[in-house]
Amino acid sequence: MHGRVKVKTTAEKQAERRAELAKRAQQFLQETAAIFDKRKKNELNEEMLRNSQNLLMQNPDFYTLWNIRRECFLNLVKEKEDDEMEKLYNNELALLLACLKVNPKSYSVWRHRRWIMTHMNHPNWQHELSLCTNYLEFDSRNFHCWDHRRFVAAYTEGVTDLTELEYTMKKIKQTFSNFSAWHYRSKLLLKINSNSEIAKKDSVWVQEELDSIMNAIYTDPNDQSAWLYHKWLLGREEIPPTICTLYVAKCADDKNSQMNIVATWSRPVTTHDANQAIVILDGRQVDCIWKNNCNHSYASHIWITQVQDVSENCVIQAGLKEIGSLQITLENGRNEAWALARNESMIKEKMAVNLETLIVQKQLLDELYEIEPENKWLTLSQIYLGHALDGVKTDYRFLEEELENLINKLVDIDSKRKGYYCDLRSKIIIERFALNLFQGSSFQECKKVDLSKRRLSCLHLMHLFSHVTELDLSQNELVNLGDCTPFYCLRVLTADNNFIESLRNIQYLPNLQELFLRNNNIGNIRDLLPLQDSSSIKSLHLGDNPIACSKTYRQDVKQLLPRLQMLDGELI
Amino acid sequence: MGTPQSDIDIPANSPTQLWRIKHRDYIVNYGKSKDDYEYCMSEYLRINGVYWGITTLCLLDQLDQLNKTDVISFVKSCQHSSSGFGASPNHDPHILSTLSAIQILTIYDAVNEIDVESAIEFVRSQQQSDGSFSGDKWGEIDNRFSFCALACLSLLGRLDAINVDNAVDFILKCMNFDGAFGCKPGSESHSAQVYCCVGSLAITGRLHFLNVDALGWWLSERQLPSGGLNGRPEKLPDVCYSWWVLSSLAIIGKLHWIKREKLITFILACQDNETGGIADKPGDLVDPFHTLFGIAGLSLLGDTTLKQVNPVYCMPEDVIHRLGLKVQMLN
Repeated sequence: MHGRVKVKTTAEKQAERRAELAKRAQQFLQETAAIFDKRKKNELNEEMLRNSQNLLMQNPDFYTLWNIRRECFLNLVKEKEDDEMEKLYNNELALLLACLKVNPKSYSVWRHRRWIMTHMNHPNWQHELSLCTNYLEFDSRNFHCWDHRRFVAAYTEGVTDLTELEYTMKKIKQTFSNFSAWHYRSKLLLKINSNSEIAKKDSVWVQEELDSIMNAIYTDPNDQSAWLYHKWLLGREEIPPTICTLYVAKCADDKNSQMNIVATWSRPVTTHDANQAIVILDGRQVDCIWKNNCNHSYASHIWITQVQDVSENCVIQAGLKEIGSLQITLENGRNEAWALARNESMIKEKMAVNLETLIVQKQLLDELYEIEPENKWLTLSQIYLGHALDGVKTDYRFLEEELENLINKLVDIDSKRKGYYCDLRSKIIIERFALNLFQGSSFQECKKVDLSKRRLSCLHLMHLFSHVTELDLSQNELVNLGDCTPFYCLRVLTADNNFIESLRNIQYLPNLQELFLRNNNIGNIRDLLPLQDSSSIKSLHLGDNPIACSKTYRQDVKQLLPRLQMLDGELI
Repeated sequence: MGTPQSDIDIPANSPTQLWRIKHRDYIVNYGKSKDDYEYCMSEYLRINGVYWGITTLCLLDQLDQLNKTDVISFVKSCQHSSSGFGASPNHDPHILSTLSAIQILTIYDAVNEIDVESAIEFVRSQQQSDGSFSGDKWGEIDNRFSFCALACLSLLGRLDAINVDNAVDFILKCMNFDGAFGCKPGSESHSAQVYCCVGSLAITGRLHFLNVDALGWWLSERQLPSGGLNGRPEKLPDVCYSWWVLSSLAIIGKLHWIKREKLITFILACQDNETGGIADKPGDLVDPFHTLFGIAGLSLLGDTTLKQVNPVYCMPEDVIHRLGLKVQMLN
C-alpha cells in the first residue's frame, strides 16, 4: 500500500493487465478456500504446509495462513522424529527468507521467524544474527530487523551489550545519519552503566559519547539524528516532584476553626503521589486526604486538604518524608499565609553533565556556528546552551537581545516551525523572569506579577505563581490561558490585547473575581461557557472582542452568567 | 558532503482543492469488483478497510451511501464463536480486527448486535502480566495492541476489564530518549507508535507522564520542506503520517508547531483526480487507508467542509460525544 507508483498505460494494456490479475486473484481465492476447508477438517499436515506456501509468497501479510502453519507444526511435532522436524523448520526459514524479499517490513513474517527459532531443536542463532547484519547492510533503518536483532542477540552466544555497542558504532561509522543505531546506543549505554554511573555527571561513557556525537555533528551539521541525540546526552535529568508552594487559609464563617491547606507541586502528580505528603500541625501528624482542585482523575499541580481545630499561632508543615517539607506559622489574627520553595532546578532544565563539559560543548559548537551561521540546528544550540550557561558560567550572560536575534533567525530559516520557536522563546523569557524574581530578597511577599508586553505565545511555569493574587498577561500573543489551573489565589487576571479564543479551565480558579479580556478573539457566547462554573467571578471585561459586536451581547452574557455583577465596567 | 534530506517534490499541476464527491465515490465503489487483484489480496485486513471506508464517509457526511445492514452483517460474520473478530470470515481473531469491528458498530450504534461479552473477554485475555497486550493467542507484543485494547474497551465502557495501571506501565517502558515511542521496550521511535501510546495515555488520563516539549519537538521535526510529514528522522513523507503525527500533536496541544498550510497543500496533492481517493505520495496509487488518513488530517487541520474527527479514536467527534466519552487532552 505504500510507494506504488501510478504508471499510465493505454486502455487496452490496462484491460489486459486487469484480466490477468483477475485470473490470479481467482486462483488465489480458490486456493485459500481449499485451505480453510482443509483446516475445518483438521488436516494440519505437510500437505497443508505445501499448499499454503505459494499463497504466502504472494501475500506474506496473510496472518491467518501463518497461524495455520504454526498449528501444523504443533501437530506434526507430535508424530515426527526430531530430524524430520528440523528439516521442516529449516524449510520454513527458507520460505520466510523468500517472503522477506517480497516484503521486508512484514510484521507477520518477522514474528513467524521468531516462533520457528524458538521451537526448533537446533536453532542457529549465529546464522540468524548474520541474517540481521545482512539485512541492515541493505537497509539500516528497517526497525523490524533491529527489533529482530535485539531478540536474537539475547540468545546468541558471545553477543553482549558491549559487542552490540561495537556493532552500532560500526553502523554509525558507515553513515552518521543512522537514527536507529544511535537509538540502540541510548538503550545499551544505560544498561551497561549502572545506576550509580548515571548519577555521576563526569562519567567516562558520557564524555566518550559526546566525542562521538560531536564527530557526527562536525561531519554533517544537517543530520537531525545527531542533534536529537546530543540534546538528550546533555539533559537527561529527572527531578522528582516536590511541593513548591504551601498556602493555608482559614475557612470563612466557620466556628470549627477549619483551614484549607493548598499544596502546589512542581510537576503534576497523581492522587496516589499527592497523598504521600504528610501534614503536621503543631508537631502532630494529622490524617488527611488530598484532593485536586479540578475534581477530575488526572494528575494535577494543586492538591487541597482540610484540617480542623486549628489553634492560634498554629505551625503547619506539609511535605514528603524523604525530600522535606514547607513550614508556615499562621500568626494570631491572620487568615492566610504561604511559604515558597524556589530553586533553579524548579525553573530551568537541569543539565545532566557538569559545568566544564557544558562549557566545552558550547565552545565546540560556537566554532562550528561561526562557519555555518545559517544552520538551524547550530542556531538552536546557541539558544539552549546559552540559556543553560546564563549566570552559571562565570562572567557569562545570555543577553535578551541575543535570544531575540537567534529566534528571529530561526523563524526565518525554518518558518514551518515558527510556532515551536515562538513558544521556545516564551518559555525562556518566563524562566528568566522567574529566576530574576526568585533570586530577589523579597519574592516571598510579592503577590502581584507582571508578565505583560513580552510577546508571549504561551504560558509556562504558572504553578510557581499559585500564591499570586494579581497577574498581568496583557499585550502578549496568547491564544488561550494554557494550564491555568494552578492559579489558586488569583483574584484579578488581566489578559487584554491577546488572541485568546478559549477560556478552558478558567472555572478551576476558586478566587477569580475580575477578568480583563479586552481586545481578544472571544467570538461566541459559547466561548464563555467555562465561566458558568466559576462561583467567584464578579466583573468581566470583553470590549473589542467579536462577541461584543452582537446586538444581544449584554443580554446573552447576563443570561449565561447570572452571578456576574459588572460587565465592561458597568453594572449588569 | 552531508546527508541529502529525504523528501519529495510536489508536482507542478497537483490538485489544490478537496474532491469530496470523488472520494465518496471511490470509497462507495471500492470492493464492488470482487475480482480486483488488490481487493482479493487485502482480505487479511478487510474489516480494517471497512472501518477506514466508513469513517471516511462519515467525515464527508456521506455515510448513508452505504447499506448499513450489509455492513453490520459483514462485521457479525467476522466474529468467532465466543471470541474476538478476524479480518474476514474464516480469518483468525485478532485485536486489530476487534477494534475495527467495535469502531464500525459504534458508529452505527449497533454494538449490541454482536456478542459483546466475548469480544471483551477476547481483549482482556490478551493482557500479559507486564501490562502489555498480545495481538492474538500467538503472542506477538506491540503497543499498537495496547492502544487497540484501551480504545476498544473504552468505547464499550469496560476499561475495568483490564489492569489499566499495568497497561500504562508497559506503555511508558516504550518511551525513548527522544520522548517518542517505539513498538516495544527498546524499539526505535516511530510516529505510528507515538499515536498509539499518546492515544493510550489520553484514554487512561496519564498524559502527565509525557515529556511534552521533547515529544512535541520530535513530532514537529517530522514536517519536511514539501510540507508532508514523515514517520521518523530521514524518511520520506507519507500522507498517513498526516494522521499519526497530527493527532498526537493535537492531543498534546501542539498542533501549531507545524505549518498547517503546507501540510494541507501536501495532502491535497496526493489526491487522484481520475479515480478519486488519496495516495501516500503525489502520483502514487490510491487506497482506502491513505484516503481516510488524508481526510482525517484535513479535518484536524480545520477544514470546515468536513465533519470533526476525534484525534484519539480517529472516529467522528459526534459519535464520541454521543457516547459521553471523555479523554484527556492538553491545551
